[in-house]
Amino acid sequence: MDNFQRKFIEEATDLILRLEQVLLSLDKNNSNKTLVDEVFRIMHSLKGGSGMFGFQLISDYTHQLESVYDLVRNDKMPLTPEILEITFASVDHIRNIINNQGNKTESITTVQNLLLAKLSQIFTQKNEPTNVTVRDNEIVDNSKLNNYYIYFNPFSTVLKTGNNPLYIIDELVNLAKSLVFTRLIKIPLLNNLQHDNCYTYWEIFLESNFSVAQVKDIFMFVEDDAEIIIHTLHAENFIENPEFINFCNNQKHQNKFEIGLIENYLQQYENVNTNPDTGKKTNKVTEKLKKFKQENVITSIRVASDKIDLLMNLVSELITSQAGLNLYMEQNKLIGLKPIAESIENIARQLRDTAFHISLIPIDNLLVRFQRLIRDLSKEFGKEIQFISEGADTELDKTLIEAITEPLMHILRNSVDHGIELSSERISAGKQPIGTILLKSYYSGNQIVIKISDDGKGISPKFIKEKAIQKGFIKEDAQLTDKEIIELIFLPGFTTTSSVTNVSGRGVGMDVVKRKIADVRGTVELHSEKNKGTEITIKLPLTLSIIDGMLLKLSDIDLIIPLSVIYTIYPVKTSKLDKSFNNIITINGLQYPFYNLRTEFNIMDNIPEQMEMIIVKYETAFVGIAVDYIVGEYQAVVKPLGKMFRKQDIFSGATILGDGTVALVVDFMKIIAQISNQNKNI
Amino acid sequence: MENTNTTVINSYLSFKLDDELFAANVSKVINILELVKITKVPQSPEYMKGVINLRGKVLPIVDIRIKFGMSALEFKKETVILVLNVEIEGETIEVGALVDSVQEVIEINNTEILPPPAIGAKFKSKFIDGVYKHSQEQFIMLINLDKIFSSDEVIMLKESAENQESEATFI
Amino acid sequence: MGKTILIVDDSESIREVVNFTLANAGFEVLVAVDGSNALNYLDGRTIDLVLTDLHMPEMDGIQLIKKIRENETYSKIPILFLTTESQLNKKNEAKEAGATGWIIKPFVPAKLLAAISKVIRA
Repeated sequence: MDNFQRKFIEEATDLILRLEQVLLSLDKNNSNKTLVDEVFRIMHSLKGGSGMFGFQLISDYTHQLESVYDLVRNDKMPLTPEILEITFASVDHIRNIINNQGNKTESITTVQNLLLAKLSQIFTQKNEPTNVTVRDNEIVDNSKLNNYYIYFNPFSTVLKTGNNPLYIIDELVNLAKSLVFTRLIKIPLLNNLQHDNCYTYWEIFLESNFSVAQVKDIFMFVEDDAEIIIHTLHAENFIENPEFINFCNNQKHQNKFEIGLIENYLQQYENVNTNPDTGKKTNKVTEKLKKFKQENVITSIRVASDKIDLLMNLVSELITSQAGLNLYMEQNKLIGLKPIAESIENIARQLRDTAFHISLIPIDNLLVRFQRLIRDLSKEFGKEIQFISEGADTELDKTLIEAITEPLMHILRNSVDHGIELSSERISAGKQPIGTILLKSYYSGNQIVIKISDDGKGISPKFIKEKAIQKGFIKEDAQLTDKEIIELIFLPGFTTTSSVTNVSGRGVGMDVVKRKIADVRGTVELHSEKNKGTEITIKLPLTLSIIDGMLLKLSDIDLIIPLSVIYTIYPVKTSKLDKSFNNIITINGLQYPFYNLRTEFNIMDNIPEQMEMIIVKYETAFVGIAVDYIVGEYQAVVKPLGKMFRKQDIFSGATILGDGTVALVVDFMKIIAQISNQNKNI
Repeated sequence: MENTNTTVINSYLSFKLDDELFAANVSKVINILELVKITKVPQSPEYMKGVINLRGKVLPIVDIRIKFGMSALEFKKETVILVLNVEIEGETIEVGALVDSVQEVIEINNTEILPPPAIGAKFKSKFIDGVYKHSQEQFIMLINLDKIFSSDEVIMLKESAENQESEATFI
Repeated sequence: MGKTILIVDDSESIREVVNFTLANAGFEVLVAVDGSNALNYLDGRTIDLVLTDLHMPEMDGIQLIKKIRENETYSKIPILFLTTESQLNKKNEAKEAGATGWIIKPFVPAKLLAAISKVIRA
């Protein structure tokens, strides 16, 4: 469809250009009918095409203009300068939409609403109904089977319009069960017969889950060229009954059923409860039940979080056990077990993925708390603040959510307390009286980014510097960049409030926020501009607690890296690594910068003659990391290393191998980053 | 912690680092483990010996000798791992501490606990809750595990010429 | 032997997407860019269905439908016209001119094929 869309964009661009030209001419002479016609046609084309090729915005918009110009070209409305002006504005507007690939930006939506409002005003002034055929938005219930009697008697001229009643009968019959009676009585004597007339008509009994409207739709093209009766019958399951068929065939009137007689006969096939009172009652009950079922179609269920924890633990243990099984199988050369073991591994993997996704929670859940918080705080401080959130459906691991709730609340408190100014202050500063706090969350690569920004007074480096000197964090003459000064906020014990406020408390500072985020291996950054506002960016790693990994060996250390980071693996002679110049190695004609993990980790025992070079993609380059050897693929249940290891980030966790030993899950990206930084500082 | 007005008896587990006697409140000791293979974690501070597998959990192992400014522990027959419950930044976590040997469980009356003697200017009294006279010759230092493990510093308990370097802050 | 459909529309993108849909459904497709172009195809060859836009420059859809019906060979073939919802009131005029049925723009390919199956079979 992309090609078609591109075609449409080209076409639309041309149309708009032409429209502009036409309008310029119309501007000079607004009575030129041909030109008015052309404007109408352009709108018509745009409307039809845009809806098909993904530009709903244009479709919605040109709809109105099409109607306006239809009236004008039919002399039902004069082409006023106002209409011309709006049309000129439309040219720019539509051009904008096309250039924005049909995306609804705020400014585009605003402009559209404005222009549409102006157009609708013109309509109400004119008192003209806006030529739109309102579609019947009937809620179609296709769960029930309906029974119909259909009388379809096309006029003799129906064939002349290219319609074929047989196709219609076909369509009906294909719906479900049907009984068709073909009536030939209209067929005249041969000498009177006109070959292109239709003399046949039909009476049909139909059982289908279609609604009356849907059945009517089948007759759409011939509704003006035929006599059509659709009658709902309350009986059921009679269409294929031979007795009923007999009854029909034995009817005296073989050119049209007397529907009353049929209905009487059919009473025996009706629901027992169709007598007026109870019938209504059961109908009410069934209606209610239907409604209930529809409303309560379960799309989500609440699960106690400890059940999720239990589930995750069990899945983890399953995977660990399965690893033990694999190990035993290999050690005892039980090849026969292999397919079974693989099957278990597969299922365990799927179970893991599903269980993990169940445990993810959208940030949305925190929003209610935040909104309450901001509302309460705003009142307390007498400030006017609106809280906007974007990306509330970004999902996080439960532990992450728990870990960041407090820090986020604290940051929001700060925004309300220190960031957003009083309305009066804001007005003097030329801002809107109502301040805005925006919470935005989204995925970026393998991270989750959460930004909290406000349009308050920002953080003044001068102010911070003074406080820092006051508290003895820095010396009077210290030379620091503005960025470095703002970083001081993260020092323990740094608080700029002179008094202990109810909300911000004392000592609960940005240092705690930074630490709590670091505990879950995230980072915090702060940007601020005086009088413009402050933005705090939190980045959290997307931790999958069970990963598909590759088990590596480095001397006697077991390491695991996620399969996904591996680009390829080459065997290399250790001597080649030692001889390499500037840490660049050539393999298969390609050059790679590389690092020898043995060197980096200072492991000098039992150096093997051959090592394996694992090539990974780091930013825009390929980098190699050399390890002793590759053991094989391994599904690792990643356990956190814990608080004691919070000061390092090259190991993202550990896992228990099948034989009980601990393997470390290593983050190659962080290692490369670390080494690069070290090299820079040399 | 303990109310000094009333007499409270607490149980302590004593252990040795070199020849020094230390003791920790039994409420903080979860288990005593035999020495197992410790997985080294490269690029960690010297006192972090590595990690081990404890019933499916990853347990960090600390050489508290290094933390107290002593030489590194040498694995001997009596070396054991004390699995401890410590509170770091409001969170309770399990840590394994390597000790040269474990001694016995002693009941100490809080009235018998003496304030820690000031051993030189470098001494950090916050890491020691008190001292107990076990016998005529032996004093047992009752250590505050929470504070010890929360700190990244090497805690110099004894001032000595070689250790004049003051706290080494491991980052 | 597939059926042949003649499509008439001054919009290239519509022509292309309809052509694509019909060809994939097994129809032979003839493409015309306007009324006169379409009439040129009425040269005696088999055309099983005509699909035309209503609003085109020079000759509009209604005129084209009338002309097709005037042609002896093609006077009975099904003709479907494409239009937007707001222009549906033209329906009667179109039918009077001889149209068989209509399809409302924008449409998804499935809708197009469903409407066509009302009047011809592949």
